[in-house]
Amino acid sequence: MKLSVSRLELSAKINWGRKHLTSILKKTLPLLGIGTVISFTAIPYPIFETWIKGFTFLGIPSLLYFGSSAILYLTKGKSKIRCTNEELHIQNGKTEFRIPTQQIAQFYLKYNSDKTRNSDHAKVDLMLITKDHQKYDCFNAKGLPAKDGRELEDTLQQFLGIEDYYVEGEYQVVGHQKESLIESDLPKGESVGQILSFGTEEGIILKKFQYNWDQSLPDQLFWVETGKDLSILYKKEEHFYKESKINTTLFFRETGFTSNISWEHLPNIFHYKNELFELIEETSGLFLSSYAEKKEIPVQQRFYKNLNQNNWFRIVLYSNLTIEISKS
Amino acid sequence: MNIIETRNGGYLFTIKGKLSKPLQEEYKRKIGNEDKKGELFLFIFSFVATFPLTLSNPELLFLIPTAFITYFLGKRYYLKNKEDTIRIVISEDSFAINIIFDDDRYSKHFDPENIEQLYIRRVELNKYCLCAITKYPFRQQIALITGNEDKLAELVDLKNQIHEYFNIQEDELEGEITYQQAELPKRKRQYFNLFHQDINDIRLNSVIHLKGDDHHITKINQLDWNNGMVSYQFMLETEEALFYHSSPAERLLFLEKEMTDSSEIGLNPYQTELDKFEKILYYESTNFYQSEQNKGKLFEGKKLTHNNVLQLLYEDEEKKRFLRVFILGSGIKVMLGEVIEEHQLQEILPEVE
Repeated sequence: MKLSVSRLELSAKINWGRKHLTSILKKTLPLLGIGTVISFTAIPYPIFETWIKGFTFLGIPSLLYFGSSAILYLTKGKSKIRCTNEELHIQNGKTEFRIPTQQIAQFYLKYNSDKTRNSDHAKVDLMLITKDHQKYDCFNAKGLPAKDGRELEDTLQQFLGIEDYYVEGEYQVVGHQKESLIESDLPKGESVGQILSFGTEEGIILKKFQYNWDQSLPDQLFWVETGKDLSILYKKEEHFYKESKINTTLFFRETGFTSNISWEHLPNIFHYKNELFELIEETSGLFLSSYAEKKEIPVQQRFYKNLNQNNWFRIVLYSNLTIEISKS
Repeated sequence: MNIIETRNGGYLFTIKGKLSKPLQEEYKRKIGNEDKKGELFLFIFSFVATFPLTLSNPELLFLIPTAFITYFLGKRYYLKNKEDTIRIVISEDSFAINIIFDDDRYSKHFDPENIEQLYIRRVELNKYCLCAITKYPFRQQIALITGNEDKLAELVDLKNQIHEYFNIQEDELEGEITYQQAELPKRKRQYFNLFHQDINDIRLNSVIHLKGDDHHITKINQLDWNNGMVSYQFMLETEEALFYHSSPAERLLFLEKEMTDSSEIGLNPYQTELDKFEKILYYESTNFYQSEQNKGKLFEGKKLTHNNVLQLLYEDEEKKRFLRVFILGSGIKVMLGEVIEEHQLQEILPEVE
């Protein structure tokens, strides 16, 4: 396998014929060598007295051996893989497969027991799993040596910045079971890189966060680059709301709370700049800062609205420490 | 190593490796006789099949022993280098090692109750062995699977999984090999964007065009916070650093410099408890209001250097100046920063090779 990574693209070429041939030659060439040496020393000379006899005993087997190896080499084909920041392109012989990199959730290795049975080393298939849980076999079950597979999987994931996590049934090449990351369970909808329209504005989605609530449907938060600034949009029940962050100390001072108030003691009602806000919803769940998260991030949220229902405050407690207050 | 959960609630581990020598010998003794029978049959068959030919060409008689010597030498060489497919099946009341070689099967059963624990020891310079210690009829060590350094991690996994399944309490043994996986920071993409550049395009040894000047990045520190967000500190060739901080509702970029004397802002340099810090700090006629508290891990490059880092972020009312109080172990550092507008970071050039 030839693997090369530059700043702009990753490319790999796999010559299946060469791989197959190398493994067969490794197994059989010593046998052929030993056989030839012994033949020369043990078989009486009269066998080789004419070239026809010599060819029959040594030439024909050698021709058959190298001929069949050459046929194997030519019939196995090649695969090419090319990945840029936008697209992954895989070519297996004449068949092609393209996928935008934003849709890729993870690469993983699947044990190929058929190919392993006849091999000295474990063989694996490189699988691709998308954010909408579709699975693709990158090389149509041709069986890569496990170490090559791991190198390719890791290099692709590093190139794209995808966190490596355990997929059920994954073959572990280097051991140390990968962590089972928590995956986002709302893969559909807006994704990073798409253009999002909200009100009279529109922009490119830079980041997507998700709140998986225990008792209600998940909410999402987007960072959208409009060209002028970074807009923070909170998506709740299919509606987008533009938010801005409020300094916690200034907020607590404005509302008259003590500065070191604990989460449990936050009141259900408060005044902020002569407006009354009351608690509408209190939820808890898990926060996902990207598609998959290494560790569970507990999150609690208190949702306050004013009487006209046109402004809100969202007070969020992340991992039982960081409080963040957003105003819509 | 491949892991499959079986229907009876157990696990099947498939690993490519070599059985230990005692088990190999036991396996050979068991299947040896059947093996020889097959080879004897092959020898007689080839002799009978080629006999009519040898009548006309008596020299051909030499070919048969030649072929057999070649076969045995070749097989010996092949077996020496071949890794076996070893299957370890564990279920509630059984722990078995199975090996399939061509059509031969060999199985070694252990009573899980009889296993005190498993452990890994080094047998040669680059050879490790997974061993089991059994309790009765007398306490003894049985070597199970051997492998080189490449297999070590898989053997450790196998040992841990079996211990976990049978709830075996592990004691540290003399000569035991311990193997720990290094903790890595959250990944960032490796590809470089020529257009629409962002903070992920700044690499070690790259050059950034900041506020009209070119700066060389000499070091990168990464902070992985418990809330899933990441901050980067890009050290410049001057004593300053470009600090990127993100929280779900905001991202900040400021140019910061360490304050030599933290008592100037009224901080006790030995204070390490977050709740005891003032919410408002006063420095150079400006009030700084605490906006965030963070806890996380500090990585210098890809190496974890501090497991428990605390940070307090303060900002002035206009959100133009920042104070970052950074608690590392027993000491604190205070950084004074000034916000960088996005247009002030104009160009990022790739790292110098």
